[in-house]
Amino acid sequence: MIPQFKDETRRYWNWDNAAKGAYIFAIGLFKKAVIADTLALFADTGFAASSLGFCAAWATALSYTFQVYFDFSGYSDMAVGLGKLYNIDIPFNFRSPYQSESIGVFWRRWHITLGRALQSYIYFPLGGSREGKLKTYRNLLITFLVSGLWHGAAWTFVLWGALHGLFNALERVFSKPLSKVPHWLRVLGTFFIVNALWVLFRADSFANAAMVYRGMADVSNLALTQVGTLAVDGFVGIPVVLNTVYVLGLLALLAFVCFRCENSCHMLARFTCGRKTRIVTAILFCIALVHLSRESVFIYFNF
Amino acid sequence: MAKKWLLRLLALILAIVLLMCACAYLVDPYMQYRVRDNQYLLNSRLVTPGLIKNYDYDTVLIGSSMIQNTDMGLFREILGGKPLKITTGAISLTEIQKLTEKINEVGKAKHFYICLDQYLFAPEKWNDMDRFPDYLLDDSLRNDYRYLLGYETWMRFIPIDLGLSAAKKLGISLPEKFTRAMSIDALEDWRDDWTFGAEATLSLYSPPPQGTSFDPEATLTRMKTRFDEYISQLDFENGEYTFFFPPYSALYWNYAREAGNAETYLAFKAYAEGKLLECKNVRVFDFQNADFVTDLDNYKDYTHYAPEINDRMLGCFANGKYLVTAPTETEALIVKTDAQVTELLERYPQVPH
Repeated sequence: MIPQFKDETRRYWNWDNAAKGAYIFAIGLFKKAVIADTLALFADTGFAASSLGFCAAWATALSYTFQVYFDFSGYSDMAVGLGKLYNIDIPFNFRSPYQSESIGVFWRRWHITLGRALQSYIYFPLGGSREGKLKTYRNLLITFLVSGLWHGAAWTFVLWGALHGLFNALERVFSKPLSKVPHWLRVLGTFFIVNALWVLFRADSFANAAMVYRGMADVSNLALTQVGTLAVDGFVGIPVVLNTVYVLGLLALLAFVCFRCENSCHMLARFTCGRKTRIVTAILFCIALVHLSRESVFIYFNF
Repeated sequence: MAKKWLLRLLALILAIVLLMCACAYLVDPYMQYRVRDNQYLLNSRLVTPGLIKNYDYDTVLIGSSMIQNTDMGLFREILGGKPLKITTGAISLTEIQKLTEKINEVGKAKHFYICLDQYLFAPEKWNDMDRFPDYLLDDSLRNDYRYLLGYETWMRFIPIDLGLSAAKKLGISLPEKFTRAMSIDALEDWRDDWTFGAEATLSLYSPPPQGTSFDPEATLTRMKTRFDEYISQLDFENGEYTFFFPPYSALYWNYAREAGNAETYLAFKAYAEGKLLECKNVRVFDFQNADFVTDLDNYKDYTHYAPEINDRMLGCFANGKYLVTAPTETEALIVKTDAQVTELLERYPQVPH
């Protein structure tokens, strides 16, 4: 980053960069204000419940899984966009992390700058993977414990970090058999592990996390219409059935986006100053503008 | 090329924003610019400011859930005038004060019917004022963008209201619950959402939790201060004021006695009566004196009464029954309330006391 500040050519307004910056900023704003903040209602309602049926528990967990991704990557995109306006190239922090086939790969695609920092300042000084298998696993565990603590001073964060470290280490132990598993199954398996661990990350306490986990395991209590109650915001009494369709439909759509669509980095690489991109950018920005007036929580106060 | 793209982007965004503002202005789901009855789904907190500004009225009925089931057609029939119900869900005293201030500013109301819920004066702070739409109450056009480009406007009410309008035009009959929610007269009317009767009321009743602290002196001082603050904004020289204490059931006073705050609330009532009776153009009704407060068939919980009681209250405003003509001492109120509770407990021995 520092060499960029010293580069004199970057000190003058650049229309190309400004256009790209506006484009990616609008995408980031849409991801945060529209998608993440909509999911925040579902997740907050679910985690605040006293008990959840099977479907509602999974909807709650998935809502937070997608919320944290779109929220965090949305902010990162906005930072990249603003940087571009000033001719500064800020690295993308997310590269389709839910398409990862292992926890190890996940951490190379999720919050990339944090992963690099932990690697440089914790993992490598501990010895990295150069001192034998057992020490490698130990170093992974310690690094992810530190990651957990970095996110917040609560035992749920610590356990979340420790479990990521554990799964990372287990992947290395079982790397040969895992390599024979079909790619799509590894991606799905990784996603489910990450999704389950996000419950710990979001929960106020172990009891809160246990409440959600109990629901996720309780196949005898489907309670499908409870899913609709996650979207109740108190302004309009929309029928629960419609709300249920809305929540499930939205989660399905976002799953498709995360697994099959290109990420912001690809979109920026393909950007051209055409009419289509102009219309899409304007529409995304205006929809996000409307959503900004909704009450929104700044989740990073939590960690 | 990039320069042209960016400038055209800014122009396109501006054009879309202006188009959205124009659409929101034309649809006007919160009636900020014009009133349309029986057309839109009404959220009381969002439409009341617009109604205060634009509705044709000379009488206001202000209060909490206690007045929401008032039959405004019957109101016109018995008391005359052009009444408007001013209420929102879980209304707070601060909200009542803001709305009253606006009513005074607009200056249409000449007759005021104000429901005095004692409990509204007790809290130090209410929790939901950060959601109160102040920008809808003022006359400034500069902050109307919050309405015209608002989330609830575009993601809730405009789509629903356009859908309802289309359904009406196509002759599709809507469920009664929807048509009621579109009527200004029926704003927040909840009569069909609950079951009334002694069984329902008693099933919802539970004694107050043990061990909660209550400071009678501090609470009474706070209630008196908040009351004085509220009536200081009323112009008793211009207008006719009817205040009334709603008929909580005797079961409520059983609860208040066990919670230890009955005497405080009754002392507040005596204070409020005394202050109001000193004012010009004021009538005070105390429906808590009514004989029906011991019959739980009139209620759905320990405070909320059936719509038939709202109808009876309108009759009392006309004929003067339960009119308070002289201030009552706290002690007398306590004696009267204790007698009501005793009668209730004899009638319903299953009530914990």
